[in-house]
Amino acid sequence: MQRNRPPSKQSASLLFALARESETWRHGYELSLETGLKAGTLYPLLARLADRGWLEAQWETTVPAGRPPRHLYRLTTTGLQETRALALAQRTSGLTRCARLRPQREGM
Amino acid sequence: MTNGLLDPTIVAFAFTPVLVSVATVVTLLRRRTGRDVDRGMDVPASLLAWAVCTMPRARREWGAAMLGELAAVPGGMARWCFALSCARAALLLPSGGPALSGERRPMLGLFAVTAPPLALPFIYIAAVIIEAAGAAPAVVVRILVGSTMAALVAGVPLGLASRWRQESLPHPTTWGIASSVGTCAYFLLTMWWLAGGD
Repeated sequence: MQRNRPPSKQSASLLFALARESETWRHGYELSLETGLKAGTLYPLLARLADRGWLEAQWETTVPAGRPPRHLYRLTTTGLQETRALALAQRTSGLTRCARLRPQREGM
Repeated sequence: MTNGLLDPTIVAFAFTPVLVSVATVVTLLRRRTGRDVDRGMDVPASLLAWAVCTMPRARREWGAAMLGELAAVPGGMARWCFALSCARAALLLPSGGPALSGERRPMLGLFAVTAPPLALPFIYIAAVIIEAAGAAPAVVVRILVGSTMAALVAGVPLGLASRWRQESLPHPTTWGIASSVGTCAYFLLTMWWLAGGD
């Protein structure tokens, strides 16, 4: 059964990192450095996003001699839409929180 | 008594079976994964390759991706951190569907080999703690001795359970029985020797 829980904080940071350059194929290690996620957290997240159809993966086509090919990742159209919706939801909830805080501050 | 517990002979008695057990597990994993592990790999890569070999076939591509990425990670501490972190993920990553028989991770089989020898350091550390803390209530001692005895024979049921689950380890029942019988024999012989038996 597919569960549609809202993405965790780590998933969100990974999605935002992938969405920043949505057309570019990205490497796992590069994503790990950019998001600060450890490899042991990053790969299960990537696998889960791929299972949901939010992420597409492919192997490097040009590989330097003496090293294995690397996996490359980027968001699918669905993944990009979901990330945009998530960003919008976060912005809205942030604005709502600010609006709730403002009267309190003004009253101080 | 504490000095007695710190005696190198007693420490060796408690920890030697664990070392033997670890060596056995490494040998079993190597035998199981030997074909997939490249001899030219460094230690972090070999470690990750073994962990990847325990992954269900449906997830192996992710394991290959981790290995490919590790090759691009600069040497030293970063490689070790990346490899260990990936190995953890490889061992714990959900299968993404029901695992086929013969593809199940050999967790019970590995516990069957490691549980009996772990009983000895367990009782040793418990003895050190009791000695340092003073007299322990009889019920605590009974629980500790009971758990040690249970762990000593745990290789047999765990080995049988591993076989029943059709885990991907060769002869888990045999390894479990060998681990339990070997550790019990070692335990009894050492007790007899320490008691000054002829």
